[in-house]
Amino acid sequence: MSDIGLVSVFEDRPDGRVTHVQIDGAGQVTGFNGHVDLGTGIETALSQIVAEELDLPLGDVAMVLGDTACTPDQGPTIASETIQVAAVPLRKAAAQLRNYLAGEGARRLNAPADGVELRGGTVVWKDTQVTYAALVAGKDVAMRLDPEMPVKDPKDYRIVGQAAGRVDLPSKATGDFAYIQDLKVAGMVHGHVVRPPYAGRDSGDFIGRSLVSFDEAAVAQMPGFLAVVREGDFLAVVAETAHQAQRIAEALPVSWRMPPPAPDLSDLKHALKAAPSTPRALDRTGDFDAAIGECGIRLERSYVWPYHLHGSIGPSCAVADWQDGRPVVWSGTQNPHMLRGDLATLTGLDPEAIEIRRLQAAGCYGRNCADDVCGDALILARAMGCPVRVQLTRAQETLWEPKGAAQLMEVSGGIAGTGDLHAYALDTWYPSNRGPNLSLLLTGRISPEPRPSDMGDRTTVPPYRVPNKKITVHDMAPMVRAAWMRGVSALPNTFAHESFMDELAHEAGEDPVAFRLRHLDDPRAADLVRRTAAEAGWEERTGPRFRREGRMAYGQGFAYATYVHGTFPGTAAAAAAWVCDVTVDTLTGEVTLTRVFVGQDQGLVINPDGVRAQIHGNVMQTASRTLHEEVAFEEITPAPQSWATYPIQTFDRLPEIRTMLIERPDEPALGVGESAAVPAAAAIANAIFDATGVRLREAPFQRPRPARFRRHRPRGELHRLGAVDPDEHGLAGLPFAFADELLVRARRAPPVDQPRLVEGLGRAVLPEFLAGAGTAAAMRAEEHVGGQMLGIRQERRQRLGDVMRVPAQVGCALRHAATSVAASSRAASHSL
Amino acid sequence: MSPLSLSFTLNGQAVMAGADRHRVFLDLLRDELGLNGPKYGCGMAQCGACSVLVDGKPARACVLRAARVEGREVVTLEGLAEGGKLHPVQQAFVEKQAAQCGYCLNGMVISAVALLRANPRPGRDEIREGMRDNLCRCGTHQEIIEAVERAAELLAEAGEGAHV
Repeated sequence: MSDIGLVSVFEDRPDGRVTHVQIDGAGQVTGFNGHVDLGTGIETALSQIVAEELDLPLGDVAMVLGDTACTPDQGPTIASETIQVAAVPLRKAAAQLRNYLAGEGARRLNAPADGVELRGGTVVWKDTQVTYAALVAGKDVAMRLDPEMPVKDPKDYRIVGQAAGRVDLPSKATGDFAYIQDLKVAGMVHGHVVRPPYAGRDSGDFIGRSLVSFDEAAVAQMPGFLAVVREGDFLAVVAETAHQAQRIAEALPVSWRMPPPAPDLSDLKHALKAAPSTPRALDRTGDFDAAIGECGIRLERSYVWPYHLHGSIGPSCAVADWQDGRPVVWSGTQNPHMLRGDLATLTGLDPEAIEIRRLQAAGCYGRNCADDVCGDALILARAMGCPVRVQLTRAQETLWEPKGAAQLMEVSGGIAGTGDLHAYALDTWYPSNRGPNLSLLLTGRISPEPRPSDMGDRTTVPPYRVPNKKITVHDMAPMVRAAWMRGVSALPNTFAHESFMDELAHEAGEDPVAFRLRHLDDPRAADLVRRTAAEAGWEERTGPRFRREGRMAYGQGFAYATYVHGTFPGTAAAAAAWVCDVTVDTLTGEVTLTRVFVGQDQGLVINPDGVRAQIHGNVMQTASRTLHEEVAFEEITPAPQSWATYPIQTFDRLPEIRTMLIERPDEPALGVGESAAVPAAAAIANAIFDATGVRLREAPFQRPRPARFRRHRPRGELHRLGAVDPDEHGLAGLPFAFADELLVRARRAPPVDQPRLVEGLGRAVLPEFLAGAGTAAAMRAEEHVGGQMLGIRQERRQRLGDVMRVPAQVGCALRHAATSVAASSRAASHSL
Repeated sequence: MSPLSLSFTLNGQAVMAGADRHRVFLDLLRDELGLNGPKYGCGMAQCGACSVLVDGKPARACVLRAARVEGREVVTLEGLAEGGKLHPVQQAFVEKQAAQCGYCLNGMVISAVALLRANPRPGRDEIREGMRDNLCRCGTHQEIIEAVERAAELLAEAGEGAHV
């Protein structure tokens, strides 16, 4: 309570009484929200919402985000739901405060309650006015939130819907802004953790039980040494400065038991299918099993998504102060209230005894080590009795962050005689959970049993009209430490749906966009698809167009998705559609994303600049994930420890990005943090198909397949990031997929179509691939297509000279491809 | 671990600091000299979050030994604004909203300042090339390129003003 006056709107929630918004006698308005700003600008958007209801300049509103002492528990900041869900009570509370101020102002001005106007922090009636500050001065009023409180009509909006600059940007541009990494607490000392050798693993009986011994005496004389702290497999050094703590930690002799090898993830598809999982039926509309038999056109396809790094630019950091059992933890967490529960489990304290103060960190895009490091700092703060800061290294963050999970999708579906989509089955395997806090696992507070979770079911049901569906998620525990990452399971699921729709359209001889529209009943979705295609200059086609100029092939692809999150059947966030252009170098297989057009329907737009920034970021990040990124694994741990072994997006890969925000001010605001990411992979795959006739069903699209078969990928010296490394990029996935495609299509094609098919494919193929790899496989393919391959084969022989010059590694890749193609070819001949 | 007495200029001020030879300059700036602009990102000069200007040229403070700045002139993000007025590059980044989380912003601004000093009117490709060794995971690349273009305009206007 303030001496100068305070009027607030509160709510009694299961976690206690919380204030949503307040104004003090100086006119300062503060909003409180349990969600946090992950770098997406949510603080600005929430400020706009409050400022709008109260008719205040944006600068007069401050937001407190995520501090457990004063914000509601609104769950983790995930699923793009801050604006859509978490902002709802805030907006109503601000409207209620407005209502109060209008009433008080009218009384003060002796005006009718509905006659006054609120403007820039004053209540105005005719030529008289009174400031909010004057109305609040000396008052002490707390109002219970009225959930029925009417909010402002969007027609009257002056702030919401207008571009607003990020409130935190000016101070970030000058270095004045304090991220969690910049926080200094008086009297703080520095911890440096020594992690076990089983980096990136979170299940198995060796977790928390592998530390044999350490030799504190060997380092106790080093400058700044304060302590070594150990609990189970948790081990850390504390020193006066961070620099000293790191040097001592690196010098500390430690003996660990050898961890067992990591699961073999060299063949993701089979590894995911072979691991224990529990099928969960999601949609059983109609009778899929009967219906698939009625389909004239039938396809079965599988799609594979790799492990990814979230790849925050700033490794995680935290400061904790034990304060005699009422600790304060300063954190960059994504989920302050969930973290508080974990820290309660860690310490045995009541959650209410622990206060999390949330500061901004580097963008996280999902669950990284932000919570782990809070456990580290709190254990050390308890041991030391003073504030302790822990900063993870790049290698610690990269090795231990719960990875964005790999995923396997199997789709089976078909078109009936009517030409309509008749049956559709999706099975999806998502080896991930919510990333249990590492300190709980290392100290043995929780058991390291494999724990499945239920987040693989996002956007599992295709948005199209299908009378017979069989949609199943196979819930499974992580195989390596994994948790949610931008587009959580919906991105891979949509990679499958939207690639498959393209494949079906092609089979049916229909334009892919027209085919989708014909099956899209939701008018808003259909409108989005139609308008995006029109604005982006969609070029109709009924098959790959093989546009070529010399060695370059050009293609355009489409994909659409509504990101559905939360407990199944879930809630829809914004819907997004992509039209993108790619250029494929047919000699190297290198794919360049040249242009992306994103149409998005997010209902009411709060901050158009903020929405566009999210689209741009989603495009750039997800294109990189789709084309280039994959976490490789060594014998025991993930391979990457820095950006040298996990290159991310760079300036030279920026495509031309255009956006179209569909204006729907009367519809509720929908989350935009992830939606534009979801169609990315399928749109790019579909564009590559248009350019080359090659269907890529395994991401990333630009990596030599054999790397996965080498369990260890040494990359040698640190090289210029973004530069094309010939070993890494010299041969993309294209030729391999091409061989599969060639066989599959040739086998299935009616005899009359075979010449056309072979000619088309021949124009699209990478001749040197056929020259090197195709010998056995292409011979078999030729048999299937009645000798039509002859021309290709001759060209192949002419090109043989080129092949001899390719690097040895490429040769190795080609040999591998030849083997696998030959194998699938044998399988093909059996089934014919 | 011999202590070393260093003297250099930091954002226009003469600084004397003690540091051991192994100390990297970033630690000295952040832990001893109280600066927040330069960030720890990778410790391997890969991402650029730690960038500072040493004698007007960008340097990666996370791999630069403190001893190397002896007698040099160091400018950090904090030293760009003059008299409470943002440097034109900072102003352009704010105008173009060229940050999401902003953790990489320090390096982006420092690199842009250096780029525009060397090439006051860079084309888009030159900007891409000049900025390519700075990593941004949020995907703010388009806004950053626009900000560098805008900064070039602002610097040109300021330069013209100065000559009048």
